[in-house]
Amino acid sequence: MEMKAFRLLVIVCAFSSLFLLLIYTYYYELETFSVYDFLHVKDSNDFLEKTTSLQGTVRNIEHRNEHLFFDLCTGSTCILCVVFNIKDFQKQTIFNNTHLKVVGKYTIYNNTPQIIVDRVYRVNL
Amino acid sequence: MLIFEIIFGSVIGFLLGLFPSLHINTIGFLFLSFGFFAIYPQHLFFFISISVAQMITSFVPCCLFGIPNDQNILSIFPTHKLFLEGKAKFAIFLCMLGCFLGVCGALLLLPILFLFFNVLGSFSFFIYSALLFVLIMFVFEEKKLLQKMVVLSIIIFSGSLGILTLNISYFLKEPLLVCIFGLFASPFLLISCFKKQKQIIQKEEVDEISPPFFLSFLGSFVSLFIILLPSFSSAQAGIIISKIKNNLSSLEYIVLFASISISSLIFSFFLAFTFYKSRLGYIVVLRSTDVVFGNVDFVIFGFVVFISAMFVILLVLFFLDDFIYIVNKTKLRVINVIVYIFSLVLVVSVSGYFSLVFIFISSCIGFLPIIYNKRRVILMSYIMIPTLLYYI
Repeated sequence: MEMKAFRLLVIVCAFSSLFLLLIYTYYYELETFSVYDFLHVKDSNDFLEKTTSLQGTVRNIEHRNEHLFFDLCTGSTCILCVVFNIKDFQKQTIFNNTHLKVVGKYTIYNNTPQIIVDRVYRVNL
Repeated sequence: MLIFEIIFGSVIGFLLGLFPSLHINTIGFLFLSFGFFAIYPQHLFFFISISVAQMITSFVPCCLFGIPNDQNILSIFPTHKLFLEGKAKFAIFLCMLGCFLGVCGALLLLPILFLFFNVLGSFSFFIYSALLFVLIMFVFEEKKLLQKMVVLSIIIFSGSLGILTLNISYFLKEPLLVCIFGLFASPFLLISCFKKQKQIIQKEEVDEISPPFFLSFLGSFVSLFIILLPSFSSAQAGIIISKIKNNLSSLEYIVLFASISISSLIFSFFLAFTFYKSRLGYIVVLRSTDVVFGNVDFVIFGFVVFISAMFVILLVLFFLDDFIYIVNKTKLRVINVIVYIFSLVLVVSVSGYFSLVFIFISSCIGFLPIIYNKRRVILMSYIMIPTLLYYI
């Protein structure tokens, strides 16, 4: 294959595959789980190091430096959530006993499951 | 017994380092998956020895595998250049020399790192300014407008891939492993697999060289700054030094790169012990298990690092002739095909079958610097742009 043709092929493949990935990611709808379902019903190991969406009630908010830690709970089942470098508009959304949908990466730290929060949405029950 | 931990860890690290495309972060993930930490828990220095040994030994497959057969590619590694000249043994020797000098330099600079991190470590402005500066430097290094546009396009493509896989990781486990393989290793391996190659017999003699003490120390010193900046790698440190010291020869660059790599690893562990900052995925994995990170005796840490590095360097030099013999007896194309298949199997077993799609996408992007004759370090914008967005 000639160099010019190969170059064109690579550019087209790179651009089109990236574009398709972008469209797919944009329209992809994450399934939202309650904290209880996520930790006890589903196999949460399938979601390890992946972005996931959880819904629950906020408890035990704690500010440490510029980071926010809280528990997201469904009943007595809770998962630790952390927001690094919390922005002002996020502070206005997260209060104790509010119902939130949290989107972030599910990870294990010091043998504890936790969510590194990316986005937060208020949920009206 | 500490000495048994060091020797045992070094031997395991030596064996793991011989596998191509196996990064220390992947090893941490595999240890976690196979429950290795439960079998041999709470032995921090054992796991440190593994990482030091693996890092040093990994220069052997780096020098011997994934070699493109075209010396004219701008982005070819100096080690590959030497391989194509029949001097792979000399290249590995230079890497070992760089590692030895890098370990000494890094251990001497640990107090300076402590001071630097206290001053600059949490300074977000410094971090994102440095990231932005390097990205802009990539573009404005080119003279012609068209070349600038090409570099900018590569940055945008790889940065977009980084945002889609690292910031929005819906589909992949361990996206870093998949995309780094696709961006950096896969294109060269594919070229090597499909192009006809003539057998290059590696010489058994090693050229004489006077040890570049100053350059190696400079490499360790620049690593101090690089380790403060998330998403920066040894390649960026090498570029910074090549700007400071013009006309670096291939030999000097190899020693420099080896020094920087091993120094970065030692600094990463030091930052984890003193400031609880994990700059390496392997350290994140260690901290997530029962391996104890607090109250580390730094004298013992230095002793462990030094002894395991020296032990592994001696191991590599002892088996060097055997490695060269195997390479001389085997066709390069066969080696590269085996390496590619092994790497694919490793990536798919860690990240799932969907990772094949991402390998394809990242390989297409990884080909862009090769076909346009640009430096492959530009592809590091895959990590740099998501990090920049985090700090803005």
